[in-house]
Amino acid sequence: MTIAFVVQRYGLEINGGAELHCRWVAEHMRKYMPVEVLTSCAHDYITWRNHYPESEEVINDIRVRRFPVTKPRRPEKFGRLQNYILEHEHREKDELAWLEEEGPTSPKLIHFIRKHESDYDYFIFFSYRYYHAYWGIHTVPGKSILVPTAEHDPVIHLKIFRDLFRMPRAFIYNSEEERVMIQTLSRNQSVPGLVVGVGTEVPSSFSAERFRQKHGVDGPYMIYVGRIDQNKGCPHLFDYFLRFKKDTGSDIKLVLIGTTVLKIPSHPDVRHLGFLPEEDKFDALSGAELLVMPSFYESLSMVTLEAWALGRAVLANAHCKVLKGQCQRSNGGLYYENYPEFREALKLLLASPRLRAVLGENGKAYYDANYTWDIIEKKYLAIMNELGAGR
Amino acid sequence: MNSSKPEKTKAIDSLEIDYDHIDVAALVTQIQKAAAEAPPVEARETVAPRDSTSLPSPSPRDSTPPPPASPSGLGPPDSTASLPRPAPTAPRVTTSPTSGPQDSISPPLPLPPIPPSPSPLSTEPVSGPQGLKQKIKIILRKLIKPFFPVIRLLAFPIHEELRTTIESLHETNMRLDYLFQLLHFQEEKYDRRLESVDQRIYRNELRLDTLEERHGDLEQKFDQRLEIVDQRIEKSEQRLDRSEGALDERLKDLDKSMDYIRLLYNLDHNLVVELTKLKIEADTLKTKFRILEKDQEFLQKREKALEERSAK
Repeated sequence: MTIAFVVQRYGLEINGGAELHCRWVAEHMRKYMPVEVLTSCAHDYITWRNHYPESEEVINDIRVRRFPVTKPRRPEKFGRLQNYILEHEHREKDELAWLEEEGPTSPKLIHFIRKHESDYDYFIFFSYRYYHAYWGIHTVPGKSILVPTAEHDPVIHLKIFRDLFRMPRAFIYNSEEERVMIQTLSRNQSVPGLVVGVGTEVPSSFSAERFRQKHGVDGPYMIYVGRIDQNKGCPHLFDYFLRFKKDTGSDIKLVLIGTTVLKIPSHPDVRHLGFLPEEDKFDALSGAELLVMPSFYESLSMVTLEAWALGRAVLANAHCKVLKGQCQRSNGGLYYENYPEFREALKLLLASPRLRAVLGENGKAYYDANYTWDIIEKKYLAIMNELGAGR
Repeated sequence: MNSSKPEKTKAIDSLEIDYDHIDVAALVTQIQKAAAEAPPVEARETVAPRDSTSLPSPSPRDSTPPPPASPSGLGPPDSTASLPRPAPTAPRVTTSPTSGPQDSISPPLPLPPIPPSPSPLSTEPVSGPQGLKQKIKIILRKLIKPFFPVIRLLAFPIHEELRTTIESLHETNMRLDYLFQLLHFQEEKYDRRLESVDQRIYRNELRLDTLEERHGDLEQKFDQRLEIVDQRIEKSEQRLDRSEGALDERLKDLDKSMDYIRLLYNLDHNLVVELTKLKIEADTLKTKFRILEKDQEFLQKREKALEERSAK
């Protein structure tokens, strides 16, 4: 059996959620069968401008085939198109024009898939809303497996995607909420699917002390890991944190790890450390009192799983159904809808080390039961075997 | 001394927490109640961050925050999203058969009558009771009347052109309005047709899905039955093979028995021959023995006779 993973970007230095998810799964499934990756030459996720050469290369023993993007995305035009289709009555051709602008537009990749369909048993497409997934699934529907990585995004209601969700052979969902959302939207219950998620590469050793010494963080702190921008709910986080500090006089600090496109509040208890390597990130997580996740849109939240893998409690935004559902299923975190709930929940967590410990233990048990790599690999193999048996 | 509460349950600020069987949903419900009962937070300004041009203005009320609105600049996407997203409302798509609550095709307006041409701009003076102004106008007209030709010569072309232009613009506007309404009406008609076609396609797709499912089930059942039949054939073949093997064994045994019988037969024959020979030899020896007995008797008799003779 030969499998092709099709994703918008691929590379060791690319840390976007879906791209990293795809790379980790491909590297783990390589143990069981030959695996190839089909991707674009893009590095920048805003313009999809060609960065890598159009060639084949081997990354961690996996052959990666890159195809050029014919036209970079123009953000202003894309924004206008998106506003138009979301706010006005429109036709399907308008949605396809939006998709064309969404990119990464690589007809050569689609042509390759069509020409070499018989060389692969399955094509696993990541991220439903991009050019490669839409046209790739239309090209080889009988061999396509879709990992939608979908969020509660207005574009998911577009007609082209409602039809798309009925086409693949199978789905691999990141969460139960994602499955319910897609099935409610497109009534595709007849298409087999499995909730799998993704594992995480937890290092064998991590040290909170090492992190504190290296970055000069002392005292209790709560941590946020991820890109610091508006879509991740960071402005609300800053607002709530500062108000919490003022209301309660707590000595808790907020440590931010990740690149930012916003201005960070200049407060002595808000520490922005920028993008850190994996080792430092896990050291930081291990020393934190809790992880805070203010994001409104998540399909899985790998950093939440990483926090639970280290036995850390989580405080999440209840407006994100995935985060709320994960907290309820795991009993590993609390959630809030507004500032009073944020304040009470954080006060409770900071006042009770035992509660934090219990939530962390529950989260760890949930992670071990569902998100270790053995389990993820078995689920992928199970779905491929099920499809193979049904042929 | 025993406390009234079990050890595993602890109340923190009036919240009951069962650490052994923690239920996050129940705990959050308690937190929500506690938050609702907490004294209202006064409207305050948060510590405005320096250079916070990108931050939205903080809300003075502790209300539910809205999801991030569409920012002006480029919000870098998450792994799956690309550019910043607008408020999550479902789009309106006229082609969709399953549009959500945003589906708002209004009933078609009745077509207006085609506007008459030329325009209904009137040059007739308004009739009615004549006031002082009207009288003054009439007097002025009579006074200017002799000079009308000169005035018309000077002003007529412009006035006429202006009048013509206004008339034609008005006519054009009326016609454009009519055409827009007609276009809108046609669009709605085609949208409804497309919607019904979409609905039919969707229903057919559902039927296809059902048929495919049934086909899949039938295929599965057929495969299962074929499998069972294959297994039975395999078992029969195995039994036949075993029987053949047993039969071959028996034939081999039979051959061995035949050889053995042949050997015995030869042995018997040889034994009989030997016995016969021995019998003949025995008879010969018996005859010789009788002859020797007779000779011995004769000799005994002769000995006796000689002994008697010698004794005499």
